[in-house]
Amino acid sequence: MANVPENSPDKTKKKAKLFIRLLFPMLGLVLFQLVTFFAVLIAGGEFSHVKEYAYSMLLEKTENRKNYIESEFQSKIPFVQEAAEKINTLVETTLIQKNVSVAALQEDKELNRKIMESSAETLIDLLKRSMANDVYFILETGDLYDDEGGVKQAKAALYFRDLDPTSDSGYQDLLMEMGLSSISQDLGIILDSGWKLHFESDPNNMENYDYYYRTIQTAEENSNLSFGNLGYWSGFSPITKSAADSMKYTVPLIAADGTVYGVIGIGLTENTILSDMPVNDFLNETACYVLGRKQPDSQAFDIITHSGIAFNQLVKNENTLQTNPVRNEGIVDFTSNSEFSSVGSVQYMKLYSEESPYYEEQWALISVAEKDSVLQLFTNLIRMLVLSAVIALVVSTIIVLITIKKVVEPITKIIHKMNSMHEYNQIIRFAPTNIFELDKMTDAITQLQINAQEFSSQVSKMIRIADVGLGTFMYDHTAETVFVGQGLLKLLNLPYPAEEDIMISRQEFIDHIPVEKIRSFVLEGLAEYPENSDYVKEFSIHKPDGGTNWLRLSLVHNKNKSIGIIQDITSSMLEKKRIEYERDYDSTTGLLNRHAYYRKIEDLFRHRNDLKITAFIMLDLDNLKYVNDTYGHDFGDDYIKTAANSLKNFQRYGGIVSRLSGDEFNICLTGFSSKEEVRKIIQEVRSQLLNSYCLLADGTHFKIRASAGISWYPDDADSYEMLVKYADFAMYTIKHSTKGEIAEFDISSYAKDAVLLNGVEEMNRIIDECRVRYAFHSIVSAKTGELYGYEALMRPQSSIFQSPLELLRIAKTSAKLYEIEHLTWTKALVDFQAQIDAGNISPDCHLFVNSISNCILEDSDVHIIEKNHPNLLSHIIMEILESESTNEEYIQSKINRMRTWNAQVALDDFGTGYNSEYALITLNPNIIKIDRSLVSGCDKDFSRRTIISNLVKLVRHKNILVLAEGVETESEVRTVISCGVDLLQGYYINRPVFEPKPVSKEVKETIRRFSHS
Amino acid sequence: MKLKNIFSLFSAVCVSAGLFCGCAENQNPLDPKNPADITIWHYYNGVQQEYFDHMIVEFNETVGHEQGIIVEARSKGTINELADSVLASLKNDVGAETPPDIFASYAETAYIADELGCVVDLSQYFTAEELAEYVDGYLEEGKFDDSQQELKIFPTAKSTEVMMLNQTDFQKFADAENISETDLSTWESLAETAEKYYTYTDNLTPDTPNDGKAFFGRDSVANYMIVGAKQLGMEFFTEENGELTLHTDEEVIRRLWDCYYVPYVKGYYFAQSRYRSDDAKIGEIIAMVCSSTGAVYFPDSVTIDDSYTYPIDSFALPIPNFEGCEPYAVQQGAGMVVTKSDPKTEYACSVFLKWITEQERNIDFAVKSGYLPVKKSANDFEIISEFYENDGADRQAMEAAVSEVNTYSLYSAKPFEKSTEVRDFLGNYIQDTAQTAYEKAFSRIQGGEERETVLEDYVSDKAFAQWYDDFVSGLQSASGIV
Repeated sequence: MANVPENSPDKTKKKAKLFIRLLFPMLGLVLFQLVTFFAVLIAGGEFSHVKEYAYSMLLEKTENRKNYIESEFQSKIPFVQEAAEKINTLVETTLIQKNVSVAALQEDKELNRKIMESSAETLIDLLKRSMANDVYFILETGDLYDDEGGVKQAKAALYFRDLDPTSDSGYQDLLMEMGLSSISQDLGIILDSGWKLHFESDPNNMENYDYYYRTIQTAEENSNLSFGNLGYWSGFSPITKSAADSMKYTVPLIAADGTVYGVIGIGLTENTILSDMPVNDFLNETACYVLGRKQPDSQAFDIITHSGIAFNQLVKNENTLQTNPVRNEGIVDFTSNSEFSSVGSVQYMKLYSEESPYYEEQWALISVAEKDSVLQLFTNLIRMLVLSAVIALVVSTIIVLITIKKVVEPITKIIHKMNSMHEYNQIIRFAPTNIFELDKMTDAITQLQINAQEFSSQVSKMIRIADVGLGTFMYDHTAETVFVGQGLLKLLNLPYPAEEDIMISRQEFIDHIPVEKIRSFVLEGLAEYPENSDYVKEFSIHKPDGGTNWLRLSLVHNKNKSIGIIQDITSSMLEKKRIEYERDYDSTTGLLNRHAYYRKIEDLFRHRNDLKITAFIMLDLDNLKYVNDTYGHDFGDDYIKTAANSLKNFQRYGGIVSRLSGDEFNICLTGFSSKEEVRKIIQEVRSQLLNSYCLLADGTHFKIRASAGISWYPDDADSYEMLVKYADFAMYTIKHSTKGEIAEFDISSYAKDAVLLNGVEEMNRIIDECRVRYAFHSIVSAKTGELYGYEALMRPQSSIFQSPLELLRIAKTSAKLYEIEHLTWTKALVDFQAQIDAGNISPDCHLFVNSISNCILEDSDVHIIEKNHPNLLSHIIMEILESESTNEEYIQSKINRMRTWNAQVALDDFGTGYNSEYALITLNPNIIKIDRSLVSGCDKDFSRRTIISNLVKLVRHKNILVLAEGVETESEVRTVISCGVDLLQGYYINRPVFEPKPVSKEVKETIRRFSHS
Repeated sequence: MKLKNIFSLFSAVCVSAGLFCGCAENQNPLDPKNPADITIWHYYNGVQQEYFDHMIVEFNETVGHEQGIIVEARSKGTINELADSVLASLKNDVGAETPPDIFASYAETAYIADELGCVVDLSQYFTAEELAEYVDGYLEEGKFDDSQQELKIFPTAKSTEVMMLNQTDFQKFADAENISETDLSTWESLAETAEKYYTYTDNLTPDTPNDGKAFFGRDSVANYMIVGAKQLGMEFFTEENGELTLHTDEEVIRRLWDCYYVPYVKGYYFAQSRYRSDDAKIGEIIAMVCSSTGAVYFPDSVTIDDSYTYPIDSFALPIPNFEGCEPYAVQQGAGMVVTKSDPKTEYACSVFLKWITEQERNIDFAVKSGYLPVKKSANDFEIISEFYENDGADRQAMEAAVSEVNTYSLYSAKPFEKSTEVRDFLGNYIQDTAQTAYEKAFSRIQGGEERETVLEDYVSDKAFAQWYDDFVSGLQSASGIV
């Protein structure tokens, strides 16, 4: 529980990961949308459309405004022309009335006054109808008025002004700028403050009077043209010193004779013009209108007037406006010394007809706009898009952050809460996060804790109830606290109520461990943290009542915690000890068995320095077979036990005593400083042994007799294997000679025994090269003396092995018995077949084969035999030897195989062997062979004779044939026949030979005779 | 919880954005992208109109363009036509135009418009500090009811009357007859001087008898009557508890009659053109009383018989007073009245009015138009004089006018329902009867009758009594008050 490390470095890393895993995909999504949005806009060309739109708006605006002004200007022309015709008629009429020519205008002031007076109303009518500010009528009066008041170049003129032509106030809002005051008084028109009697021109600024002089001059030069085509648009020019300038449209007055005698025209003040080109056309742009007149052969325009304060920024109050060639879509830009780059449109106005001599003069309405302001829509769009993108990004980020925070925060809280928990049995209850899944998770965690706690308490209870002696604790290295389970409280009898688990400090825990040994092991185990992951210690403690308790302390270190289990393993320990004992000790004698003995010897030989003088004693009991055979195995066992008890005396001297097999014992005496010391001990024990006896069934005291061999370390050999072998050799040597003595190993005699020295090698050669032959020993009927069969006897073709027993012995020690068995079964049959084939043996004869009792041929080898000798199988009689070491399972299996072959089984050495009667019952043989030791001398020994005749009687009803082995004399033949044996074998009949010959007639005759008698 | 938080955040953003918008709306309803159109009707002509139009162009291109105000100004020609048009439009007469947002108005017209419920109280658009900058007397005229403190007429350009003289011709006469400026300081002495001038000019052509020239003429005879009566201790109409009372003190009327009607009939005073400045231009008179705004029309040359022109110098004097009376001068000049429309337009009007009366602009306009500045601090000739490029009639007139503002009592009659009619009557009656009498007398003298005898028929006590009776009954019918 709560095993999450607090403040571990990867905790924040994990938190960041969750945060980032949520943040980046969500932000990525927002960015993707924005990028897609812009990409679509750019790819769709929307931006350039907007840009073009901005320019076309400017262009359109300018064109519309130009059209308006143009029509305003043009609309006034017909009124002027109409008035001009009226005036012309009036003048003509007046001239005719006065009967004077046009030239009189330059001479007759009264004429001029009359003309002026009579034309005033026409002029005012023109003023009102044309909605102009000015109307004027100037007569070319030559120098008629020059002298008056010293004024030069004065002309008779009438000039009215109406500053607000839109209001119809009669004559009241009119001003007279030039003309006779009498006319003004007649009409009730006010004289303007700068009122003058005549049109006067200032010789220093003649361009200001262009509207008069140029009109006159051009009309005179183009006499072919009607006055309608000679109207002239001039720029702003002054009228009087006080009245505001006006731009003018002037039409010449031409007499019938072609004399240009004056002009009539209208004027427009700047205010009027500007009201026609309002600056508020440009609500969005920093821009102005310029009314300009194109300079000949140039892209520059004379500025006539302009609107808007933007003019000061963009054109810098210059008199000319320099345009650059048209860029695109009618948009031009301008050359000026303004710091602003400006664009605009030039819209030419149609003021003159093609016939007009002024046709070449091009007027234009020009819009001049700050480029940035024109593109404001465009830049605003971009700005708005970027702004909205930024806002979207910021808002999205905030929402994403809030959302993630809302998700991550509860998780972090949960983690913190879980980390802050140290009380093992406290259930963490989480505040609801209101996130469905998280709440489900925390519920699950809480439930898990409850379950775990319940489980833990259940486990504790179960442990307690089971009383298995199991105690647990968990030590937290960080917090230095110890969780102690109920079991441990009870196990160690700690001074706490054992009803529930507890959490105590380290010191408290250590102090309360009652047993010093446990405490030290616990500390030792904890001290290994964190280098070693596990610590296991099994140890025993003494119980207060005197018994011994075995405990196992296991510590598992995991991160910063160590989990400890203390287990009472007393019962399992005892069981283990018992099993070990049973494994290592012979149940009959209580001595070490072979394996345990060799293990101990191996252990000894790992510490050779401690060996010093060591003796290996091989001891073989004499007469065991006899006791067994004679008094049964129980007495045999007693015999062995008695010997063993005596041998146990070696243990007092540190000797290791073991029973290797039936009657063989091994003793190792080690750590002595001299052989004499050892010999003394051996002698002492031997005398005890020889004085001991066992009480047999017939009440006799049967003395223990044994033969023993001794080998010495380090004199005889370094390895215990060799020492055991040498001791064995020494024992066999003495057993085969004097029996009942103790012989020390003599390396020189050992060396002489080539068989034993070279036996293994020779045996291997014999086996490999199949160097054996089989001699056949005749077995005849005890009734007729006729041949019953032959016993195949192995004859190793070797100079070393004189007897097959030696070969078997070596084979046994070299674990080559199988090979020998295999050799027997193949070679014997081959040789037998060869003798049959050679005609030495009748095919009806049986073949006795000696099988090694604890060997069984593999099925594959059996199949080969069956295949090679199908005709022989039913003639085979397998001889088996019953001993304590035979494997009954093998024997049974072999007997079964004989049955399948229709072969027979013979029990060898019957009567001397091990548990012969038992074998008779279990093995159910066809033939029993009475051992030579019983047969030999039976003619002179009643007991032998009795045994033989009892045996015959015993097996008769079982239809088992009885064969007497080793009959050597005629007397013995007669005795066994009289005992009722069925078959005979022995030197009396013949000796075993490789190529058998028929039984002699004399023998046959003798046997027949005895059987009939 | 998550959703709720996001929602509240969103709401907060919306609300605060809304608040900002709301605040902006309250502070300044103007929108440069959607400008407020303001129409102004005025009666300016000539020089005044040019300068006024010039200011409007400047406003439209600067402040108006920035803030979203487009001002369109139209001259209605004369003050009377303006008043008629305004009232017709406000009354929604058949064929009348859409009412203007601002119109120039005398108190009389503003009073009527206010009675129609069409006039905005401008005090709500000005702080007390802002209003305190204006000459108190000018503001007073716009407050019809003292207790209400509501400002119905906003002073933009005020004027008074000054006396202008043809210095060149006056000097010849003065030198010859030993006349000084003090002889022009009272109406009585002015009449005497005029008689001397008549005699002087008559004597210049010994061959032709009775061809003496008039010395003086004045614009707005109604002012003479109203201010003169006030100076003489009488107001034609007084209001008490909502009751108007007509006063026609015969002595006061007689003095008024003596100092205008009599010299006029005798040919000492003259009025032919619409304004006396025109009469001065053609040499009919050499002295005149005109509005300070009319001074700019005072000529720098005189054209005789539409054939002979000669340059003249001019000079200005404060308006004459009646002998033994406190000096009084008329306070006139229309103020601006804002008609009720919508908050945006009304606000735009207030912006324009503030702009047009900013000191420097106000003085500049005053200097060019002859009007008096409306702010206290601007009524200092030392400040004003810096705006003049050279010393002309306009500068002299301004100096005289400012001195009047600072030393005279300025007077304007309180408006009432029939103010306009009364004013017209007061001006026209004495002028028309004097003109008629003059023409009859002139005709008889031309016919060979003795001048003195003829004149006696028209200026006798008997003649006055008859005139007075007609005057009183005329005034009663004009005012509707008996």
